[in-house]
Amino acid sequence: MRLGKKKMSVPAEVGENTIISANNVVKSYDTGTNKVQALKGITFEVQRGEMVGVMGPSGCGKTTLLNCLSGLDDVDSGTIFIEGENLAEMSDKKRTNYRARRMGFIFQVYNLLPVLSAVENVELPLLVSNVKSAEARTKSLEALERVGLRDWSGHRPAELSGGQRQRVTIARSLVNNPAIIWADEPTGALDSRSAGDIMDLLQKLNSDENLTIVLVTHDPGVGQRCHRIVQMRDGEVVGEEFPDRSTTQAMAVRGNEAFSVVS
Amino acid sequence: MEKLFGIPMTNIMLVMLVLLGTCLLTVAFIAWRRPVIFKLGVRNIPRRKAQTTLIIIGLMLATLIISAALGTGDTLNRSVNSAVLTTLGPLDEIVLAATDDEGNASIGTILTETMPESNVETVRAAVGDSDKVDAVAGILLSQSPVLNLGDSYPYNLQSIDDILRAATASNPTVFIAGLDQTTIEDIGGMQDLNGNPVDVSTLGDNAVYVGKETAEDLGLTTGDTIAYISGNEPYFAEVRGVLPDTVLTGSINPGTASMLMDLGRLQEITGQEGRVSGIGISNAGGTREGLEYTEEVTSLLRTGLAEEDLGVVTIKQDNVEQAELIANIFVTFFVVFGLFSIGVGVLLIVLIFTMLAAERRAEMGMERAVGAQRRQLIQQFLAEGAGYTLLSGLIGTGLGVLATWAIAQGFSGLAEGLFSIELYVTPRSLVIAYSLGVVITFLAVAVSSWRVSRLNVVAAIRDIPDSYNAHRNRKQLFWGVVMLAAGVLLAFLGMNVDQQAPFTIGMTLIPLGIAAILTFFGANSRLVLTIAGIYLLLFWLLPSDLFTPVFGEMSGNIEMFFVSGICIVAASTLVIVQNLDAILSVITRYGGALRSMLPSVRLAVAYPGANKGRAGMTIAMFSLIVFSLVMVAAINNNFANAFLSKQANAGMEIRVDVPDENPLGDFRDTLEREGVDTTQFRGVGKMVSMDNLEEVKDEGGEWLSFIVLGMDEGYLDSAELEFQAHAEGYETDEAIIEALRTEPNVVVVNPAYAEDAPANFGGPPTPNLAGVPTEGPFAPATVEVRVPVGEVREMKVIGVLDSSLSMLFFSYVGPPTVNAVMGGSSSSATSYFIDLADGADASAFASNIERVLLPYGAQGVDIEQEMEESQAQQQTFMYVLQGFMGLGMIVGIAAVGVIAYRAVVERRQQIGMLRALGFQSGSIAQAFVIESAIVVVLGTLSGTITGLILSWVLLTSDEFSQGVDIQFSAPWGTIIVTLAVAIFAALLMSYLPARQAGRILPAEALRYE
Repeated sequence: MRLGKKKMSVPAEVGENTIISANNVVKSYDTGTNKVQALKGITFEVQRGEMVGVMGPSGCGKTTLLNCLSGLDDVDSGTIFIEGENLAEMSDKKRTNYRARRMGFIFQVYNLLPVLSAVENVELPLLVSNVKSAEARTKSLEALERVGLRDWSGHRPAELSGGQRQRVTIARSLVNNPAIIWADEPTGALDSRSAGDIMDLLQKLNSDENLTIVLVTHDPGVGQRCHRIVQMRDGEVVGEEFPDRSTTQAMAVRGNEAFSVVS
Repeated sequence: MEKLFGIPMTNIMLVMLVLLGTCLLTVAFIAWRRPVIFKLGVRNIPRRKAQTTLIIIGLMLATLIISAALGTGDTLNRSVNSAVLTTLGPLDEIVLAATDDEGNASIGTILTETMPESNVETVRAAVGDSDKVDAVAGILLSQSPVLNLGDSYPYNLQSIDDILRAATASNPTVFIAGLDQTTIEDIGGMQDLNGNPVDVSTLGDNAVYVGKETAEDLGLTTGDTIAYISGNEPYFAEVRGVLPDTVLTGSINPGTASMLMDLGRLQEITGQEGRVSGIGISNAGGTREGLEYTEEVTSLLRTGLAEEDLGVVTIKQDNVEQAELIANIFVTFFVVFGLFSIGVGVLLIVLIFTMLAAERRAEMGMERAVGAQRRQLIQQFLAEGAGYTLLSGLIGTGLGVLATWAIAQGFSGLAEGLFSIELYVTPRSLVIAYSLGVVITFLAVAVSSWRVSRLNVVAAIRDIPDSYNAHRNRKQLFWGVVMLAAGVLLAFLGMNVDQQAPFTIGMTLIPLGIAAILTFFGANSRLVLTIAGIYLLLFWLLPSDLFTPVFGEMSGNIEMFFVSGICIVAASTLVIVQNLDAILSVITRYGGALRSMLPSVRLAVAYPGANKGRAGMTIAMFSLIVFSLVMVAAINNNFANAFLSKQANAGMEIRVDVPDENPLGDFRDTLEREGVDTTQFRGVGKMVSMDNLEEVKDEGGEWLSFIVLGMDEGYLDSAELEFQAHAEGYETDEAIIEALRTEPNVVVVNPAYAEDAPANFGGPPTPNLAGVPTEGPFAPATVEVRVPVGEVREMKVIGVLDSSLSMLFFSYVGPPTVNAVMGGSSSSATSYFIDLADGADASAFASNIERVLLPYGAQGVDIEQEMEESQAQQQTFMYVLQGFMGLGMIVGIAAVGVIAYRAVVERRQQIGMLRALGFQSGSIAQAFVIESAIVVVLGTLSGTITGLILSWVLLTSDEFSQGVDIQFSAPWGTIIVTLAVAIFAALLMSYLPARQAGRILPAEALRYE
């Protein structure tokens, strides 16, 4: 059983192949005038090498879930284990180091530093991990080579197209050989052709290098290219889908809301 | 203060009010006709409170500096004015023996000349029954040593020696005034400090009134017994009361010790029966109001006394004008130096609004896309700017008054004994400061918003750089041609009118114009602009010894100091910014040597490299303020060193000043008789004032004040006189000294009297003698020197004293000339100089000599100590000035805070991304601090280096140092402390927002829009 509110309080219960394990995660925001509960007790697991898509309508908590799972944001309650390590027990410094060494991030708006060239952007995670400057440069050029942008390494983001910028972001997320790549709407700002190229690239990385990828998307086409789709609504997981098995499991989580079941 | 840079303050205020009104009307128009635009603007103000606070502080400081500079002028003006009015009291004019046929007189003769008392009636007849005159009074002045006898019973003191032994305190030079009671009543009476009426008619032979200064100096109160010595005779008296010091009590200059007695008694003591020194006139009205009638009364007197050998001195008006002049000198210094801080403030304002515009670029792009005109974007910024500046101007003006108070406290020590500092700021100054602050902000906002309003709509919305624009490039060509043409015109104009300002500004515009044109035609802009910058640095830092032969002699005022500072800083900033990438790559290479710091260094160098305009402005800001501080410190340090040498007074260590009333006879014999060990004297010399050589005809044909002192044989033997210019026939120092010894009517002069010496800034004009150079050989120059009542004597200038003899301020003649000119008559003042053996204590000798020569009214001075005290006063002024300029440093530091804060806001999302990638919060903060450090250190270094070079160039040039030979030394102590404080404070200001940046949760930062 992977879904629902089953309590997973100890790492011992996490399977050997489980790389991400979230248990009853609650997260709320205080907007000043009212409190918004963004995640209402999410329990969620991802297996090593899995490519998971998180889908749902705007404001359902997809990005918040991704931020909490990756350690970018704190949770109010619940536990999150990444590679067997409890995020809540990590200091900010340790969590940051962990991100630098084991995680890669891809954002919808690219989030490249406009004042740095493509290769300088890519080598940032290596530099913060104290990799030697020359070695960082070599690895970054290799990463750009993998995304097909070796020739554009000296260009600044403003001089690249949207698709190219996103590929630089992917190169940056790959450069430190991460265990997990977190992607928040990686194709959200791209045309369909560029989006297709990016997804091809991510799928290739996933299959060739057994990278675990968790991506948030509202594009069903992108979702269909994942191993599994987790459906969210109002801060809760309401169902999941396995596009490649041609089966869909769904369950009504609350009230009379339900997802269609397709066999 | 009535004038600034020669422009009446009221006119300045009116112009400023018109400009302020224009600004306010503009805002009112926007609010009325464009309410949406107005709201868009002003609603930005409370959006980010911390940032708004910093902006207001930055804007406020510019107004504060203006307000403080003007307030200081008002305060000094008022204080000096009050001192003058207090000293003169009811006395408005004084009639003295005439010095020429035109009815002129010199106050300097009041102690040397007397006239029959019957002249009082002549003067009364001259003013007739004019209702503009309250009283006419004969006054006799004399000088005497005064001693406090403490508890001693005077009649037990048989001799002067007994008196000296019994005295608890003494003052060798107290001025005694003699007035009769009728006169005192005519001027409305006088009161002592306790409010008791003064009545000199009841004093008899054994009572006097003393002035406040005398009472404080000698520790006297009413009822105490004093002794005073006149004509080598001791007299005893009881102190009847203590009076405020005024000319009528004998205090002819502020801070002079004085004493008042009955006119008849003073005439008797001094042997001047039936004579007075001068006749004072008190105009109608109070102390200040009497000034209004000066011209009318003077005209009456001149007409009435036309047939008499009497002249009129408008003493109150002259002194008030002199006070105004002194206050103006101070305020000009403060305003000129304050301009640097104001310049920094303007840069800060431009920077703030450029950054605000950059932050809102997408917003503005959207506004443009939906139909907003460019001018509406400018209006929006003006509305916002008005919100900041109207408030900050008020606070700044108020705080300027507080700063004025602090500066006044600094000056209190400086003016101690001369006058008391009275805090006073006119509403006019406040109006000017406020209006100027607001107008400067408005202009800065208008210019910066005009620049950003020219954005490319699509690029702004998509947040990408503006693409290449051929139209803009053509404008570059246009401006290049304009600059070149304007530069050439100004340079020619400057050369034609021999004015530095237009010439140097023209010469600055020319290379910039050429660079713009060359760049348009495809030249490498970095190379061209770097060459232009280096050329400008060389041009502005060119020593005048090289400048003058190439470009000719030109005149410039003190404001050239500011113009040169701005141009030098602009040029050095241009060179730095054009080569910033190279500088930053060096920083990356060495700064990243420590691998853990590499990511922070990489980020820190990336931003200034990508925002060269912003980095350049910050560098220029720091550079400007450090440049001005270094200059002031260097000038202060080197001038102090230059004057504090034994050579300054030709190797003499002690000076003994003796008034003529108590002739000393042979100086050395007298001292030996009094038990002074003269075996320690290596040499003794004498100088007398040549009372009847007063004016010289300068190169312009004008008669100007010329002070001549006569040296005796002893002085010429003992003093180490050196000359930097020798007349033909007197090629060596020895030849000049020999001529002084043997030839009549030859004179040597201080370099300040040379033909090419610079004008005496702010003070009375110094004559420049035709044909007398500052340095080098010259043909003996004949000058006309005027003696009283028209007689003109020709004298030959044979040498110019070496600038190291900085205490020999005047012109000097030898014994044959003294005999020829004075003809055996006594001089009003004599100074003896002593060259002591090595190791002798000059201070102890000076005190001892003063003690034993007290009956003669002699004053002993340790010359080195006197020089140090004089320097300490000058240094106090410079320290107050440096403190004032420190305000500019605060602007710079606030600027770093504003910029760092804005950078954090601007890059919030990027910070989130960096944190997501694994940047520790400390690394983020470190990157911000390093980024600030790079610009602050570059600006500081640029300011220090250019400031030191320019101060070296100026101080080693004859023109600026006025011939003083200065061995330049950099004030490293002051520089290091100033820079350390500046850099530390600036980094602290950037650390606070940087730390905040590091603490932002990554997810929160990524969500930020």
